[in-house]
Amino acid sequence: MSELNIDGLGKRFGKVEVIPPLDLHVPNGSFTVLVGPSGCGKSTLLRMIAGLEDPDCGILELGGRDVTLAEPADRGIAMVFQSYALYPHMTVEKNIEFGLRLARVPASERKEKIAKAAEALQLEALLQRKPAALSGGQRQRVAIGRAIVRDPKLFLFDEPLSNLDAALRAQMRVELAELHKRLGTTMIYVTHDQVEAMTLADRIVVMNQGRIEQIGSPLELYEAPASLFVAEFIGAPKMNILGGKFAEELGAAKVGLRPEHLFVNGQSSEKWTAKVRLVERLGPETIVYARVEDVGDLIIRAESSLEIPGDSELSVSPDLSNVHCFDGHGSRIEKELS
Amino acid sequence: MPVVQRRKKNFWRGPWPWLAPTLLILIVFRAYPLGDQFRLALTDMRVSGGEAQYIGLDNFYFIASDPGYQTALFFTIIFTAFSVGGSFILGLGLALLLNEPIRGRVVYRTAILTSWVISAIIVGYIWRLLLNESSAGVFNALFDSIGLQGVNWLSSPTMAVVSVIVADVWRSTAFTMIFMLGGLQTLPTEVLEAARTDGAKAWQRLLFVIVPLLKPLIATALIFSTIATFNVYELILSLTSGGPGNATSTVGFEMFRTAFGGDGGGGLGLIGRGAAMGVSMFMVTLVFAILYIRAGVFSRDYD
Repeated sequence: MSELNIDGLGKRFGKVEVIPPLDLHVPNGSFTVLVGPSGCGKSTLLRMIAGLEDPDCGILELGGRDVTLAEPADRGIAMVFQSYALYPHMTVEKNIEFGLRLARVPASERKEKIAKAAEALQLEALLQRKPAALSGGQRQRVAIGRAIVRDPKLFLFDEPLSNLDAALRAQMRVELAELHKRLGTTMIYVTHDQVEAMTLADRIVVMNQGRIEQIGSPLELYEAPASLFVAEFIGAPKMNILGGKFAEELGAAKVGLRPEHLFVNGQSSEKWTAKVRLVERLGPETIVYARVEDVGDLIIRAESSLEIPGDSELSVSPDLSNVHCFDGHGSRIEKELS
Repeated sequence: MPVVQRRKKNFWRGPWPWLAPTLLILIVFRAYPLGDQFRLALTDMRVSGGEAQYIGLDNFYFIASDPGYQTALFFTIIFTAFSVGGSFILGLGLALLLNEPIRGRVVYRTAILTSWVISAIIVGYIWRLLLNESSAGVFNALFDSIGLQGVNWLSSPTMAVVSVIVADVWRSTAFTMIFMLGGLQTLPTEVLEAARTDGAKAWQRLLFVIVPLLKPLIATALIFSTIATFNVYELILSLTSGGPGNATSTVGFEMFRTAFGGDGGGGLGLIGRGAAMGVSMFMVTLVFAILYIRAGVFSRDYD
C-alpha cells in the first residue's frame, strides 16, 4: 500500500502563507497531477511531500506511516526534477547507481537493476557518457531511470517536461503514461500545463493561491468545473466566459460555454451575429475568434471546411444544454434537469 | 557581382589602444623584473654597489651546497604542506557552515575576512604579541591564570614551527573560505536535493557531490595558496625572523635576508645570490602549477 494522506498540511515563508492548511488523499496506484498557474503552491506542496521542505503544520502519511518530518531518503519516494538534476561529474551508469550504492545494495543486484532500467529507457548505449554529452530528452530519461531503480513507493515529478521542445514533450508524455501503466506505482506530477494534466492524469488536483479548487478525473473537470477558475484553466482553447444579459437570463452571474458548444449557422432559439476577428486553420478544425455585440468575445471551434463570408459576419448559436452557470463568487450553480 | 567592401583596419579602433595601459604596467612591473632576476642571478651584484661581474652559475652552485638554504627549503615544504592543508580544511568547513542560513552570517563572513585583509607583517606582529612568552603574552597570561605553566611558543624550535604554521593558517583560512563560499553558492540546488532524495547523508553529499563539483575551484584555491605560502617571508620576518636559530626560516625569508641590506635580519646584501634563490623558488612554484593543471582539475562537467 502506498496511498498518501495529507491532513491539514500548511506552509508559510515568513509572513506569506503559501499554502493554507489543506487536505488531500492520493489513492494507491493513481497518477495524480497537481496543476495550477505559477505561484499557486503546487511545487511547494510536492516538495513537502518529498521532504525537501518542512511543513509548518499538518500530518503527512505515506502507506499508513507518519512521514511528516522524515528525511527524504526515509520516505520511500523518488523525485524527478525540472532541471533533471543529474550529477554532472558522474556517468549515466553512476548517476543511476548512486542511490543504490548509498542504500548498500549488493553489486550484482545493482548491475541487474541498472541493466533493466537502461533497457526500458533505451539508455544502454549511453551508460558511459556524462550528462553534458546527452540531449535534454536523454537526460530526462536518465533522471527517470535513477528514480525507478530505487523501487519507490511514490514517484514525484516536478515539471519534468518543461525544458523539452514540443515534439519531445509529446513523446515523453506517452512514455511516462506507459511507465505508470507498467509499474503501477503511485505518481504525483506537478505541471502548469493543463494539456499535460489532461493527458497524463487519472486524477487532477487544480490548485489556485495555495488552495485546492477541485479534484476529479480530466473529464469531470472538463465537463463540470466546480469554479470559474477551473472552467477557465482547463481546456484549450479556453472556455468562453460571458456575463451581462445572457447570463442574467439563465439566472447566473457568469456563464461558461466551451468553444465546441457554439454552432455556426445552428438551429437554436438564441442566435447571435458574430463579427470575425481572426481565423486559425489548424487542419482538423478551425478556431474562430469573433465578437458579438452585447455578449462579448467568443472563441468558436468549427469544422475545418468553414467558409467565412465576405462581410465577416457569422450566425452563431450557443448550445444551451451545455452552458455552465456560476454565481457571483465564481462557484458552479448546478442546473436543475428540465 | 557586388564586391563586399572590406572595412579599413584602423589601429585606433582596434583592441590595442585599450590594452596598452595594462600591458605597459605588466611589462614594466612584472615581465621586466622577472627577466632581470634571471640576469642578476648570473652576477655577483651587491647592495653595497660596485661593478657587477658575470659569474655564470656560481650562485646556483653555492645555494645547492648551502646547508642553510637546504634547511630552509625543507622547512618551507613542511610549512607549506601543513599550512595549505590546514587552511583548506578549515576554510571549506567555515564556508559550508556560513553557507547555511544562520543568523548573522554576514557578520561572521566579514570578521573572518579581516584576517586576510590585514598585511602579513601585521599578522606576524599580532601573533608575536599573542605568543609573547612573558606575562605580557595573551596565551601565557591565560595559561597562568588557570594555573598552567607558560609555553615557550617562539623560543623552542618545535613550538616555533607550530606557532608559525598556526599563524599562517589563521591568516589564509579566510582566502579559502571566500573562494569555497563563492563556489558553494553557484552549485545547482536541485542536484543537492536529488542527492538528498537519493539517500545521501550530509557527509556523503559533501564527499560525493559537493567536493567533486567544486574540484576546479578547489584546485585553483590550492594553487594560489600553495604559491602564496611557499613564497612567504613577511610573516616570518615579523613573527620569528627565522628563529630560533634557523628553525623557521623559509626560502622566501632566506632570499630576502640574502639579497637585502644589513639591519634587522642580518642581511647579506648579495643581490645576485638572492636572485638565484628567487629563480629557484620560481621553478618550484612553476612545478606546483603544472602539477595541479596536469591533474585534470580544470575540466568542468557542466555545460
